[in-house]
Amino acid sequence: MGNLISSDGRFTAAQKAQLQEIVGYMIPAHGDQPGAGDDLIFGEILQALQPQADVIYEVLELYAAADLQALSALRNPALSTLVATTVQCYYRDDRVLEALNVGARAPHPQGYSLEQGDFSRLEPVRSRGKIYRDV
Amino acid sequence: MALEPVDVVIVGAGPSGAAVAYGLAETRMRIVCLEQGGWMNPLEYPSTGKDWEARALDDMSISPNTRQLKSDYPVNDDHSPISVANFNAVGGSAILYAGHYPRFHPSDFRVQSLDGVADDWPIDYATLEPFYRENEQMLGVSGLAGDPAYPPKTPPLPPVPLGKVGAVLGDGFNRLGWHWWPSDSAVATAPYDGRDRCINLGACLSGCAQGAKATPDITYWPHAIRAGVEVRPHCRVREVAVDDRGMANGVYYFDAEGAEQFQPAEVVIMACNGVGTPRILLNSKSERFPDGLANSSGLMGKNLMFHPYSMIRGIFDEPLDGHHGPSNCIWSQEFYETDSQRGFVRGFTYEINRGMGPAMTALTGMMGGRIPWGEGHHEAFARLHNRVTGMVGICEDLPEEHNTVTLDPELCDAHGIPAPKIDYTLSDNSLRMLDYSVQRASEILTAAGAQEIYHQSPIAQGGWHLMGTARMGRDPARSVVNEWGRSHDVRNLFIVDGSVFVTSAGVNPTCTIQALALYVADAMKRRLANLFD
Repeated sequence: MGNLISSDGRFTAAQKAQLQEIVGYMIPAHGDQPGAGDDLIFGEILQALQPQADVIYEVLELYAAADLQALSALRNPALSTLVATTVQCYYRDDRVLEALNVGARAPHPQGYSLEQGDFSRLEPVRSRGKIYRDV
Repeated sequence: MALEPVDVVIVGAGPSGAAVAYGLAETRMRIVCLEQGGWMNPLEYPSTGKDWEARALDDMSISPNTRQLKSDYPVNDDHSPISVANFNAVGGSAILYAGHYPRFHPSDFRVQSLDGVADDWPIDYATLEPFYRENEQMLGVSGLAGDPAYPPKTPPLPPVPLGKVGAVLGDGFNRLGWHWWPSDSAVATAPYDGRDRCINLGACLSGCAQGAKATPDITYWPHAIRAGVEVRPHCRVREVAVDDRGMANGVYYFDAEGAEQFQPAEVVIMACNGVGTPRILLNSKSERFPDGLANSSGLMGKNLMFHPYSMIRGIFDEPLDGHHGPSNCIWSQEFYETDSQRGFVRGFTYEINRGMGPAMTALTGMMGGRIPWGEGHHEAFARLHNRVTGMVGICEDLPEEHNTVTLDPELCDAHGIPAPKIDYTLSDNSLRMLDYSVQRASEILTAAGAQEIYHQSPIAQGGWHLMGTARMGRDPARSVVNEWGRSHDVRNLFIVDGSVFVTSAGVNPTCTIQALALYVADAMKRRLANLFD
């Protein structure tokens, strides 16, 4: 494994390797788009998991008893935590955002453009007339 | 330690506290507002970072029990299918609101007379109409005049963009011959009152870094503070005190350093909304008021109304707006007014929500079984990315006394103040209305071209609207405050927030909350010479 950040102290080397395998299977690489097991992305995931380590230990226990395919089919709150954290870290990586063509940037301050639209579409609504009750 | 007395102490700096402060400021009375949260820094809102979607589920979550910030207090909502959502700051829960800004309708004030359920309000639409207008001018509400679902009104700013979502769904509504209209939104679509226009950040629900979304901290409060009102942040009120005449004489609170203070005041105004206000008043027990303050009716904390929400989503083949844009778009009130043939009374509003960013698309897809782990992940994601949109159905909630806010016997906040405990059940009327809203929404999405539809009903985390727990009325045996917000029991105690709602309507409450607060301020000003008579 490459340059993992230092604040990954709640997991042993073996646990980190297992987690990297799980998330790498969860979201694999796709063409030029890295997978969640990519060292940089996994480093982010690992950092985000530190406060939730107690929950993630349960995932590792589940993995000890099942292969990755079986793990993916389980419905379990601890797994949901891992999925949510993985997804949130993965889908903010610059390379992933560029590959998706959404731009590797925060929304602010540039913002986005949106079509104002044609409000003449409302003519059928106008022509129906009033729909509220008088009192 | 007692501080220097003030004329008015307002508890809570959210939408209603800000509006009543502004309304009273011209009297030049000494007015102080105590707020348990702090001032927000828009540059720290999630949309200024690439982790904006993650933060919306963490420190900027709508759930106080998830956030657990210093400004939060725990809420026991284990006995409710709907969880309380709020935010504590100068600006209140509006910091996280979408800014949907509909008025009530005339019929919303006459529910008993028209539909034979609940009660009529002691005021009507015509009474509030000037205050609706004043409030909309202050905020810079955007919209389009001519909505046939309302009496005539003219929003001060142009409507939010239709975008692809508004166009596609508008066409769907048109195919069915059903009502739709651009949403009235507390979102500046042009520069207004020193704020810049919306630039479609798409992160409205976790704070607007642009300042285009009209929240009290950047609308009412700057004006009120310039007029002399003082806001004290990080001050958590524990109880309202009374003197031996039974009049409120101030509030006890914990200041930013955690020290207990007593703020003497001639008038106390509660503005903590439908959970916070009854919580403090129920905690304000005394020999004269053993059941909590202003509670001779026994109705303090009762008749809690949420709006049960349905959420219906469609997956489309064509790319739509994704998260770009204000989340507000168009709405429909086709099913708003009662039609007994539907199998329930009262009705609901559909509010179309544009779409999601990539992380939320992936998360909801994976949790919903539409995006797998492994090989098929990216292909399934691509099918959903920027292609999911839909609506929520905001269903009117009827008042029922067994739906309550009480004080939890064990759970406390960091200052030892009892937490609120929520006991709430969905009525048969609500359940039928929710089902109906899901079915009709599915028809709309199909007519608009959706290839697949899914829903969640009710939205379990959707306790955004907190109403009814200190209701307004003329009869002291059946209400907590009178028709201009003054407590029946304590003549210098006022309530101006959603607690006073008699019925909930089928629309977001903040527009009416703020109009009511302005109306109460006006009523107080007209009666200043004999305010306590």
